[in-house]
Amino acid sequence: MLARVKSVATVGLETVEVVVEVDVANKGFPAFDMVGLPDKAVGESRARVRKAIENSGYTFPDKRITVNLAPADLHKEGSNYDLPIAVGILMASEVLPIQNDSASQPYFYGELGLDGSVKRVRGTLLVAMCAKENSVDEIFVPIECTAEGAVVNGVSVHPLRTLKELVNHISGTKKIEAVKNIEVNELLDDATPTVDFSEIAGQEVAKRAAEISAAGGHNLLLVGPPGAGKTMLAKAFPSILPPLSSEESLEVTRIYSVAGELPAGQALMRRRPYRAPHHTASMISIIGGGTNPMPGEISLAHLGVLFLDELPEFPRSTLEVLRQPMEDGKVAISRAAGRAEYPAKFMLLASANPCPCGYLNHPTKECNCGERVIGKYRARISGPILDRIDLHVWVDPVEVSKLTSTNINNQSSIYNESSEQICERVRKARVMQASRFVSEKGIYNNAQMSNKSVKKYCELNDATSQFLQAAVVKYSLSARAYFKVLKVARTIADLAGDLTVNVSHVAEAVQYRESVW
Amino acid sequence: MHRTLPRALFFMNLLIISRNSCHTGEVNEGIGEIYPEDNSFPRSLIKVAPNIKKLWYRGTFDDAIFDKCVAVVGSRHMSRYGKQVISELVPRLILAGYSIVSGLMYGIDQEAHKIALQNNGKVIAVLGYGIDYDCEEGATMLANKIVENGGAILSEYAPGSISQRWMFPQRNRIVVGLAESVFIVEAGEKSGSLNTAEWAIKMKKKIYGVPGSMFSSTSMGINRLIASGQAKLLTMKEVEEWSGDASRHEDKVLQSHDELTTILKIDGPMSVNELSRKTGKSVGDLLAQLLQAELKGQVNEERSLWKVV
Repeated sequence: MLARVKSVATVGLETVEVVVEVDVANKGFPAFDMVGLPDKAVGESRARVRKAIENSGYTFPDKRITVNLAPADLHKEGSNYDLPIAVGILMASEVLPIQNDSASQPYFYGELGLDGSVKRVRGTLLVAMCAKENSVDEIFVPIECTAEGAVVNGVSVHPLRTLKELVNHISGTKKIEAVKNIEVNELLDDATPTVDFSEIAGQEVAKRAAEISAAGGHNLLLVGPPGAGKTMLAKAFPSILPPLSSEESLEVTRIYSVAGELPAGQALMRRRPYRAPHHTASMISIIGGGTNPMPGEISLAHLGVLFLDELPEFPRSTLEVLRQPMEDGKVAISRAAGRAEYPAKFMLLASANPCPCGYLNHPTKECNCGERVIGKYRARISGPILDRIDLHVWVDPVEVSKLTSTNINNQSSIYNESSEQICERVRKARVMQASRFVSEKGIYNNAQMSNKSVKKYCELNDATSQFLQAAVVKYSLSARAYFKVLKVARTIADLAGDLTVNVSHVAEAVQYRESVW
Repeated sequence: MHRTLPRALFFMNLLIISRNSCHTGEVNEGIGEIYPEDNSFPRSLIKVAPNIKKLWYRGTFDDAIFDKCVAVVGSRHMSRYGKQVISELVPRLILAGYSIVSGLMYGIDQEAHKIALQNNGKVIAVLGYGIDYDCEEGATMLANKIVENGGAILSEYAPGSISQRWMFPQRNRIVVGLAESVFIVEAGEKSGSLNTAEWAIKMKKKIYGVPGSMFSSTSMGINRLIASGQAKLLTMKEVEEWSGDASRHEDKVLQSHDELTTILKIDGPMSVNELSRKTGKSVGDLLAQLLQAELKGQVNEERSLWKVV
């Protein structure tokens, strides 16, 4: 007997419908063959499927079994074919009725344990999306992954605990209720950030720079001695970014689902991602890769923050590969198994010590690094990477005695703004940018402006341009630095709600120039 | 050119490398030689003991630049404080018409050369190794710049000589010999800069010492030297008197009446964070105002602390 069961293969963020064909033949030597480019994990499913069927109380047919995964030329990888294969065998050996109407067939997606339990797999959200696309009404997935699938409207998601439950459902003895669809917006509403800006004491300048960075999409470099609070600031950073919209949330969740990084039972990524890879991370883990291309840190940070702590400690080669994705907002990874393109629109937040010992310019501690040692240390970050960072800020160690002094309590409202208050300004500034770049292709924020559009959108009046000229001479700013100042000044004006860039905007922007590195 | 035959023969034996080009006085491209009996030999160096037998030079050997020289030397481990001292001191010395002599070593020496060049000053670098020896990339590039700007590079070691430890102290006597007075910015204990000071004491040259922080190991040596009375304490007041610049400083402070400069004047240097807490103003406004004041020359920033100039 021949049975056909449907499942889904994921290649990067793309999905392909896979038909699992199972033939159980009475003739021939008993065997269990599998074709259709299975990888090791798929091949091993033979053992799992056999034992799962037996331990669920059914007979595994002692006949010649052939399984084909169509399309046969696509590499299949992962353990998620266990479930469709088991269902196929049960159908072909007439334990379950064969469903001939292929259009109404559901998708089966899950791994089996030897005891017949159905286990968690990655990529469930993509399976649900694929079902919607191909107008498949039902999907059967492991119970731990149902929340992921339930966000997709119009597809009923059936949670599975064991293979036996599934058999009972199909044979009609005991139905499994589909889970209720989850409303994306409801989930997003109660997302709270981990660290709030009001929890950060002092560091007013760094906070201001973070606000500008969030508003205009400018990358930010924090330089300061160890223990100054750079990491804390980075952790709080996602909280001043506008919350994820429902489309954005699905976009991020898709990546996390493919990478298997979505916490068990969680339906959606509700917060903007914050990724902080360690500096020993390999190049591949940063940009993505593997035999079957998987998203790397830059894609996992999509629409969120990529925080590179101790930037100079990262191998130069790793930093250089960031250049192209930072420009294009996506990364294409080609491997033997296929080519995958992952989005990578992240904001780069980097921190660095001013010198190898960390205490250069420290108010009380002495730095013992030679000029040449410092020069070498600084050279670890290449010019092109620094080019892509608009805001450079020096972070002083927090002066504990000054923080506890009385004047901070007097006017606490000014110093301890909550993330929400800052976020409100950021949101307004982003609205201004959105209307400005309505006709510009590929530009969504001030940081993305080309030199040509800087000239168009950052027009200065005579007094302001004279002022900028004076600053250019005094601080010997390069042409590149000049344009960076203008972009930042534009964002500062947006935050203030001003249509034109004036002297004080430019003056503040000059303060964030590349002088601390 | 200006030498007697027997002496030439003597040097020809000594320096096989330069044998072929001896007659033209050029050892290598751009490198010249000069002897104590030459007219253009700096008079200040004749009395230096042990005697200088011969100098190799690169650049224009112009008497004028040796007329009025001061030496600015210091630690290889330059702190930001040292850098700031140089940026205040050297331009004033140049305004007063001095050539800056130093040792082209990284740290204070190179900074002094650089700032001098930026201010169109004349620079003399005395090397502790052969004049064509590529010691480090930064030094070679800086040397080329000095030559381009009409300064001179000097060495008493034959071209091709690799630096040895003993050469640097010997070189210091030439630095001191050329200078009317010696400015020492940052010197640790047992440092080369203190060796320079010893030469200066021997040759009875005036030593000005820049005092440093008690936490800084690179100021230990010079602080002790000042305390012992061998070096004269250098403060901003001396620097200004030296360069006849005393009045300008006062005017600028008097001109500024706005709130920020007043606070900075009364409460001393402050970070923007502190200023914001004190005034209740937003950081953005403060940064903008401070930059405008800095452009007007009213305030400046050091170690992220702002102060009135």
